[in-house]
Amino acid sequence: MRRVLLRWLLTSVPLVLFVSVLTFVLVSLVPGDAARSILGVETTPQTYEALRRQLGLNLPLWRQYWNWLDQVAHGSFGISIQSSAPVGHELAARLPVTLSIVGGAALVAAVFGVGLGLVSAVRGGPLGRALDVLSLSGLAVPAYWFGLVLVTVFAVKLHWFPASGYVSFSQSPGGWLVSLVLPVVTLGFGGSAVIAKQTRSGVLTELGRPYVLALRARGLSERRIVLRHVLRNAAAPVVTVLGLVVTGLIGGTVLVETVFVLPGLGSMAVTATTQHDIPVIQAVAVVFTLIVVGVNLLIEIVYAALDPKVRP
Amino acid sequence: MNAGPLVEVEDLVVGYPGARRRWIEAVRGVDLSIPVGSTLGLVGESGSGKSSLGGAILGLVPVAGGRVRLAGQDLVRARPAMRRRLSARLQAVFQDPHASLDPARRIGESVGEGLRHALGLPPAEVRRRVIDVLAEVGLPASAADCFPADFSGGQRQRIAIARAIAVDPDFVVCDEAVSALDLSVQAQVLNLLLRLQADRGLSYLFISHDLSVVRHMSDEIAVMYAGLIVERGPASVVSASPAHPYTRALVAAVPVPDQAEQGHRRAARRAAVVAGMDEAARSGCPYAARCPSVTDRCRSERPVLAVRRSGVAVACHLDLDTPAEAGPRPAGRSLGARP
Amino acid sequence: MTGVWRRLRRRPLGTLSLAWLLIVVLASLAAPLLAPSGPGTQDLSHVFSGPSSHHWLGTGVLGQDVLVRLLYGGRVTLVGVLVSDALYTGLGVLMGLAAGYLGGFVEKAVLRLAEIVYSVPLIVVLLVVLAIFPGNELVAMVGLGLIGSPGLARVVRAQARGLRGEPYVQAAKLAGMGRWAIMRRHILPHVLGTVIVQVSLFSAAAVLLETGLGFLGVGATGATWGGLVSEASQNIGTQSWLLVPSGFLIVSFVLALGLAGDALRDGTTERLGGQETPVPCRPGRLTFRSAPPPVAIVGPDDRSGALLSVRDLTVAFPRDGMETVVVTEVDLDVMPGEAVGIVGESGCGKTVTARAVLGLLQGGGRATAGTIVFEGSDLLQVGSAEIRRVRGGRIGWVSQEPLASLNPSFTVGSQIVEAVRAHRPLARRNDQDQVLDLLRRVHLPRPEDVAGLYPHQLSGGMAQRVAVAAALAGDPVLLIADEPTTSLDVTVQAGILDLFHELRETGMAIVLVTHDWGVLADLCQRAVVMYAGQVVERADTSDLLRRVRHPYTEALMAADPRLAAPKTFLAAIEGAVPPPADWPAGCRFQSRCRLARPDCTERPVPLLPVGPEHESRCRHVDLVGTVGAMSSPGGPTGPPATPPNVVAVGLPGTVRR
Repeated sequence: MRRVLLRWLLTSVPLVLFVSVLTFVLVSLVPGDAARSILGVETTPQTYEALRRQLGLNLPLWRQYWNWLDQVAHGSFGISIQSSAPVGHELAARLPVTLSIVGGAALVAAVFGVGLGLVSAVRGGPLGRALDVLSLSGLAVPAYWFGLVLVTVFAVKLHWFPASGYVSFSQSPGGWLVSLVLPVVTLGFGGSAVIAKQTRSGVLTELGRPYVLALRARGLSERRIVLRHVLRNAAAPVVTVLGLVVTGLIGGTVLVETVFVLPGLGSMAVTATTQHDIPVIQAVAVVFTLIVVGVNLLIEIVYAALDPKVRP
Repeated sequence: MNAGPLVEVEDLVVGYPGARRRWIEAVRGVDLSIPVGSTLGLVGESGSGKSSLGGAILGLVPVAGGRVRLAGQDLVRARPAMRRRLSARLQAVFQDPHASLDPARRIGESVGEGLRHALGLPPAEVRRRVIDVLAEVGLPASAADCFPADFSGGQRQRIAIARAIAVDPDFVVCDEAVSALDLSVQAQVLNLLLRLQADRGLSYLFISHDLSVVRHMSDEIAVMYAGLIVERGPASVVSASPAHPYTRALVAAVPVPDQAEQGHRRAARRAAVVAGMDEAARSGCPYAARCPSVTDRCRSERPVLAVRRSGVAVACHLDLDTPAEAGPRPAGRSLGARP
Repeated sequence: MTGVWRRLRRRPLGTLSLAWLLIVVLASLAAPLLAPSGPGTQDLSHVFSGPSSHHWLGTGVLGQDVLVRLLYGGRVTLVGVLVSDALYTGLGVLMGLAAGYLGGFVEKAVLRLAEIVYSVPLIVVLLVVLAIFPGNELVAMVGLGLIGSPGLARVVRAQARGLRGEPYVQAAKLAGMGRWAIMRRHILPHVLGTVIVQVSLFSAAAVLLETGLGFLGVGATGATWGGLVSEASQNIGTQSWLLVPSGFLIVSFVLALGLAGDALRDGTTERLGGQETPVPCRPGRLTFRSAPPPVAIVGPDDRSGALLSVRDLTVAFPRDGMETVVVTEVDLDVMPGEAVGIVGESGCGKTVTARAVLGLLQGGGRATAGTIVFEGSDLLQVGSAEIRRVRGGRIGWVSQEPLASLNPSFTVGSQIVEAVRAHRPLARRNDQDQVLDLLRRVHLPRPEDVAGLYPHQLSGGMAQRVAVAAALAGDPVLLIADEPTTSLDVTVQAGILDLFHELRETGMAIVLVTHDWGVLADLCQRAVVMYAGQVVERADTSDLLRRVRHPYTEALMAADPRLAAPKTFLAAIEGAVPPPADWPAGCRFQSRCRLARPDCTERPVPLLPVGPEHESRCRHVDLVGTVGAMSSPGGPTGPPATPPNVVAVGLPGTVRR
């Protein structure tokens, strides 16, 4: 367990630093600064300098970064330039929406991906080919476009699900579930294709290994060989891929939340980008990265549990 | 036959970093010498360090200590340019016939590589010599334009041999060169190696886990165990009346193709072979954990190679000069142990 | 180049994809020529029209032609993708090769970087960039290429690292080639296929991201593919047609990128051979033919009371769409408690014969004729439940690769328990005792400890003992061992052979597949020699080793260095075992046989009795063993042969032929 945590820290700390430094350095490249954006062009140099000092913009870059880190460590993400509201509050309000979608999509991707991959590997034939087509299209169809197609069919034509909007769980669990169906399917579709592909190739590779022949020679049933032995050994790479898929899903919320007009972090990032609201986009980038870091920890633990060579 | 040593290895140590920052020594201080035109057979079980030793002589594996000399010139401390010049005199044939040739290169390119890079010959000359050397290993000139996928395992091994001798080396390391081949193809390749030795006066270091093949090819045999040479001497003596307990186990364990004879040997091998789960001792004799005649001294003090009356050098504390089954020893084509 | 074209033609889907990519790229380049009026031209008389002769793909909100906008939009997307591709490929390959071939610090740094970059949500970083450089999509695509490149580097490194240890790279070093020459000539060409696939996948992702940015309205302004989808989304209730052309173009373009990448990879690596995906063994195809021709079970030479009696077994595998016979009419009898050896070189059908008995043929192989009678029932006829009962329960099986035949994820104990339960479902209670008994039976020291070990903690010899223990779990009466000691050291082999002797003394019958005459002599009473899918000689082992009655057997023994004088030429037969497709009509050994006569080529040679319990498939048995057979050296010249009274390895007086 200690080795697992150590491994995780070795990636996570540089990752968070990487993203935060990157955004910070990028921001420093902007012509003009926050003080100028807040005050506009028509202002006296005195007020401008005063605000600069107040915002700490006169300090060297590394001191500014340090101050910002210090702020973040205390849970404050600064003030939005557009709304003048603390960014942290809005983040907290929007986080559950994004987590619901990502969690749901990850579940869909894992369950369908592994199931389809397994079935197609064991059965082969036309089913395998059908799955190949499905997984290819899962990779090729843009999520935002697929979402719109789903909206057209299931919301506009059939009226089965709402076209947009979010109902919180505390408001109405049923409504929450219904409001999530289309976004989750949209987001999970691409992910399940990736996982199905990995599962299929992993299971086929394992089926060709000598131990499978040995198990058959010991008289074990095919079902047991596949479900207990083969799937178990094919799982480790699938888990790794799942980690990458979830990272992709987190990014995908940016598009899906825009398509379904959901009040999550992704749509917040888009709005911030169009409005050049730099503190907000910085904060969202860091929070997204922290979510990834959390997911990575889960993945590391599962991975370690699967590999006898890592286990003590 | 020139009696001077072509290759001399002195106190060679090869190590590499293992898991969890442990330093693993694959070769723990080995001395060898190979006279011009002769074959030294190096036999040992997997993990005994014999391939690391071969790789170190070839310069493919970093050396942690000791010296390797080719015709008196130190290879370990040679500058890269010098090393490259010497490399033409020092070639190798490896085990896996399927991996020993780049599948993306035509045979002519692979075989001519050394002629181009080590000797710097012009393309026409390279081509001519490639065709000559292919003919020497029994392949038609047209083979030069084919890819490795067009050849069987035995043919690929012939090509690998052609590549090794193309630059006209003095010394060839054969690292398990026939281990992956079937019996009939193995015989072809062994014959080819013997013929090339006779024709070109080559010296071989013949590395194999198979004692019968080593015995067939070698003038002298060195037996390696856990990174150390435990016995070294004329091939006929070492294989017919082994002295070191490990060599005895090795010889006893080889089954012979005769049922009555093998019946006797089976009874004998039960006494000689102790199947080991051995962590080779850091101090003391590396074979102590598996040796049927182990004493306390073996566990604490490492025996050094010492030449016995038979002319064989043995690293063992036991008094081996009066073994039960010694008998008259054939003189063989002994080249004598190193002084 | 023509070769590449020919290969592409054999992949219609890949070629079609390449063609489509080309069309889209060319059309986008030529957009100003095809539609000189530009994408912004409005046609307010045709707002939101569907496809028509004026506007082939319809119009948008201000009546702008959709097709024209797609053409111009393509320019934006393609430039962006090209920029990020260039950075991705250049940096990725460079870093990957350096990391993989040089190793050390460079390798560690690249790996760490890749791991970090894999965890960055890409689109978010792009949004940050675009928030700072509003609308400057090119900067965003540069960022994408930079951030993506460590991913490619990681893949390239993995391959380069594998290649670094290849013997041909070692040989190149010995040939005096420098680092860069080796990387360029021996590493890069093999990495190329992977790079092509990775770049095509990355391009696909880049297209999706670029159009995504267009959809969000944060990317390039003007006509873009993503912008069209966005326009559709704003009119989703009324104008669903708008989704079709833009969606079709994006999806088809991305699909084409992926497929073309695969096709190009296959096209460039095909000639290297061995890159084809292996034919996987699917359990559903492990079937027996249900109705072989009726064969009399009791033949003339049947040894009544045989435990296993194989008659006329013929096995075929599908190859290039045809069934290729690899084993022809094999007969094999095993008496209770008897050890029978099947000897021959690889490609002779030994393993296939052994596996066919248990119905364990892989790759679609099947028995097309014959019977395998075991304990009174024909194993080729019984159902799958019955064959499972026999496997492990009545017939145990041990393979050549002891470590690989254990599942690395489970402990030794749990794998043996599983085998025990498969055959003794009622004995749950004392499972653990039975496991320990089995481990003791194969002489593993400290069985309690061994049961808790994982396969990677075992040595080869221990693993083989564990595999034998698992094979004994169902208490079989016959053990089929396929080269069980080939991968083991000779001292370890001795222990395994002793174990087999012990098992045989307790009454177990053994079928041993081997290529080693010594191992055969050690264990087996009877021997069957196979060549090119046929039994060519069958006899008691001692009889066979002393009185060879087939030229192949004779030649194979002569090739054994244990039976020859040191440093002399071995009597090697030239050539190799022919592949099944090249088997001649008459005697299959004719091309390599020193005794070949015209009548050998005419018709198949039957297996005929040549002595007591001795059969041979040769018309010229009388000539076998005559002078000239053994003394002819294999090469044209040679060192003087030592007199033939040299002892074989080991004890003096070992027999010499």
